[in-house]
Amino acid sequence: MATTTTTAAKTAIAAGRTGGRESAALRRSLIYIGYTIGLVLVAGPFVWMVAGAFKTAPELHRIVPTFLPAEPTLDNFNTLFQKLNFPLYFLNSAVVAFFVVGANLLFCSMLGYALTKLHFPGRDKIFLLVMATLMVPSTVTLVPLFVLMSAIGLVNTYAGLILPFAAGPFGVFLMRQFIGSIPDDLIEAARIDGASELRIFRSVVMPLCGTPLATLGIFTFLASWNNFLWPLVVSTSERMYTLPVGVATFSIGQHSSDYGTLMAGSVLLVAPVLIVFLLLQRYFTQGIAMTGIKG
Amino acid sequence: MVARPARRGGDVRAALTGYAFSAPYLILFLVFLALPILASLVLSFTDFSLGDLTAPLGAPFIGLQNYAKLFSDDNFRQAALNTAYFTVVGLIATTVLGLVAALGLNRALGRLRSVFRVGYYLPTVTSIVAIAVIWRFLLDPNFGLINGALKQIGISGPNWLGNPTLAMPCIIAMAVWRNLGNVMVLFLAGLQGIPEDVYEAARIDGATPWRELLRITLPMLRPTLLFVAVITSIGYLQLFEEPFIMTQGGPLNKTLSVSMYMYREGFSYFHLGYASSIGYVLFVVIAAVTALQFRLLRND
Amino acid sequence: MRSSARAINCLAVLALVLTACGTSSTSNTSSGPVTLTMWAMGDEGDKLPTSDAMQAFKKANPNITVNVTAIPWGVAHDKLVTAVAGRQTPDLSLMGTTWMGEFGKIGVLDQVPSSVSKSDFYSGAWDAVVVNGKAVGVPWYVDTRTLFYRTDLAQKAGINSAPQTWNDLMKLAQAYKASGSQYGIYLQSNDDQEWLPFLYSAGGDVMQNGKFTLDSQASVKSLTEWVKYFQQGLTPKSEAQGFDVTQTFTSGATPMFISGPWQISTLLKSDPQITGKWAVARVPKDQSSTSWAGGGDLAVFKNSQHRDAAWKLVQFLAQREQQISWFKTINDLPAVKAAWQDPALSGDQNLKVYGDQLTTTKAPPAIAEWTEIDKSINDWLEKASAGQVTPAQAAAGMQQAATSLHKP
Repeated sequence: MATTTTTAAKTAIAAGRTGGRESAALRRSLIYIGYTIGLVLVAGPFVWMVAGAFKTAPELHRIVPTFLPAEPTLDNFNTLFQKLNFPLYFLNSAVVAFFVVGANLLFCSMLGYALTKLHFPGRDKIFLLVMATLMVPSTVTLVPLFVLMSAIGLVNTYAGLILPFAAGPFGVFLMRQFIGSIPDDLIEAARIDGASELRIFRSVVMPLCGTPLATLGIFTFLASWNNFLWPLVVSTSERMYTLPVGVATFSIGQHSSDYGTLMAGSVLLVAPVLIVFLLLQRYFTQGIAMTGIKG
Repeated sequence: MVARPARRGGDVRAALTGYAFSAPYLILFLVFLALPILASLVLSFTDFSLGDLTAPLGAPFIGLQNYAKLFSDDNFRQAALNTAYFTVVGLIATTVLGLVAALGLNRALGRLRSVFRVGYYLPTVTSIVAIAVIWRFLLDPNFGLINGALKQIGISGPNWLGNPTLAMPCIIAMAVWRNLGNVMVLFLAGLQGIPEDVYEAARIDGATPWRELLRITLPMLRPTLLFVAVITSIGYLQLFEEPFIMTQGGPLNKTLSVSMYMYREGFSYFHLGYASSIGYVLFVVIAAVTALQFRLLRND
Repeated sequence: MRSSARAINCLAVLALVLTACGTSSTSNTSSGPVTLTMWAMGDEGDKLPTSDAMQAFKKANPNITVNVTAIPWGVAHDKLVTAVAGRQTPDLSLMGTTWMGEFGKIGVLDQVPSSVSKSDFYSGAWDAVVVNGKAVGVPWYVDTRTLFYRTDLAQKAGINSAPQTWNDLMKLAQAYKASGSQYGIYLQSNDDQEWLPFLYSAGGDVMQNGKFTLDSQASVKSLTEWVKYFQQGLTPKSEAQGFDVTQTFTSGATPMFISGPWQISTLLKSDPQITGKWAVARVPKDQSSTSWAGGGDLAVFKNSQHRDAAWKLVQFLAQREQQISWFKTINDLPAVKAAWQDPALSGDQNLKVYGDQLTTTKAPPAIAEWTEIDKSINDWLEKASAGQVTPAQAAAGMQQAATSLHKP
């Protein structure tokens, strides 16, 4: 009796174990399936966008939509480039992003250096002041910034698009964090050698900052490229439209159901960002690990 | 004795160098960020309008009238309600789904983890403008993918963005879709910071996975949770692009957000004083929500 | 007052430090080549650059280059306002007639040269460009609303004539629906340009003798009639942005709608299967058949460095021949009376209806706050259409909103 029970118990345990292994495998594949479905949901709209960009107008207005283009065409891109001013919007976006990124890299690391390696009165207060604005929503400054830009005649200029974003608090936080971790000895040694602070900054500190600069550069580029509300307000004429303003403006009004052109415009808007993201995604992971701030 | 003045001279030089290094950033920062924040408050006490731009000094000071008007303004009330609805539902959905996605990804998926991480993160980096345009097309009642797919199985889909009850949920779904990856990546980073031996100790005590989650994972994730809640609500409270492009605030003002209302008052009608007061109220709400979250989620 | 002044002073002073990055300098007016920047909205903006009228202008004025910026109507008003605020206005722009009051009163528009003759234009159109007794724009085209309906489907439903009265309209809408159409008519639930013809036809008006009359009996009556179409499911309750009525008219889902003259060419160019199967009729009458009057005016900005060249272009586009040519391009109705004698206009049955309708129209008041008031009216209209408020409540709401927004 006793033996049978133990054998039964043993088989039960054994069965339970293999059953456990099986159910673990099952659970694992269920999880895989779940995540793959999630991935399809995430990618779906992008595929729909790209497919839409290559569809003809009649196909886009078919009552039962097709998923992939039946007769792929470049017409929508031709419209963007020939009838509309998309190359100009693209150029504007690129110019603005270039200067915004450059200014942030330079000015934020300079301040980061000053805040950690130079001693002067008010240093910590400056840092606190800058950090206090980290959480200020951009909507608050929208109206006074416009009044300011209007007063100094910078509405509808590159300067008007660039200056409000040339010095962001996030970059100071990041660069101060990193430069602070560079050993003081390294800098003292250079000082003893008689190097000027500018020289130390340029040839000792900056060469060590590759990773945080890359991270800051990428996040700033993304924020600038995708920025919408301020460019919408400050670019009063088409000459200064950035790509998001151009796409948004085109999407309101008589072209709002011209989905082919809109999808082609979205492709142009999204593609550079995706390329940057996929090529440099290790910096994203680092950036997120470091600060957790999104682009 | 000799060294002292020299050192003092060195101090001055060091200080000057410090200021020189700070100056480029600080000038831009003060003029284009700090000053506008203060100016916004001042503007909100005036009746600043289009005509005042040529002579800004003449803008009439009207005290708290803008704020008084806000509280009796039906459109503002509607916008505030909509924004609260969007933020609360959006925040909960994004956080819960992001956490679930991170938990699964942290445990189960070995080599494919980075594929999923990159994939889920993708929408976060892309322009909201592009995404709003794409989603408007997806949701188009006649030519969109969603109603097209529903038609295949014999259902006549609703007019998503044209329906006062459905429009906001659609915008919420889109926001969750876009921000899920970001939240997931943040939680993943937080999960990886939890030492493995804490779990092992719990397992020896015979804890079930559910208890592990409640007793160990969630408490240890508190700082991440706080961070996620703060940045997500700051972003969501400023809702603008989605309704601007997808619905223009309609139907029946059901998707009008506070930022959009501020934009309309400020840049369609040029009531800059009034718009500033709307912006300032939003600012105060954001600060209060952030403070509240710190109180609730801070470790002890 | 003082603190606000000081803060703004600070802003300006600090800002001056940065003006070095400055703006483009202005060029002087000279007889040399001139480049004009012109803003034009909607289809007008899309089609003007390549139109025959513009080609003819270039041929006649080889030293003037015109850069036309096309702006969607939906954002045009905001862009114009911010351009004025940022002192970045174009040389000239197309304006909606209802904006003339707003921009005219800020004083940014140049006065029309004396060589432009008022008597060439429809008087209603001319009245809209006069602000404080001065003409600050030249009417380019006129616009009104009429009814489009499917004749073939009407016959199928047993009705062989155009609806004349409100009653006829309701009957036709019901008949369409009964005979298989998804809806009877398409009315945009939040666009007063389609409701105002009902208001005017009921004998009402937005403003009379300087006072709003949006809560008049005629107003409530017109709203009640309007709302019926929504209550009875004769028109879609809501539509997404970008809804295209041409498509649903062609498919027969909405066999009637109220719209402007451009729809004639859109319909002629759309699916050839419906050619000859639709017609245009005056808006149905109650007390009268009175429609909404609008249109586009051309205005030159005072800030422009090239006002002479800009006025040259405006006057060119207001010539009889160019009005006809522009009509052929886009079907905008000429504001110049003489252009209507051309066979292109006088020979067309549908256009005759428009010409006829134009004789009984009313325009919204030329007040500075019209854009805001218009938006409130649309909001209340939408609420009434959705059944959230009664017609009387909507009328009272419109009246209250308009009164509080208007500063006489």
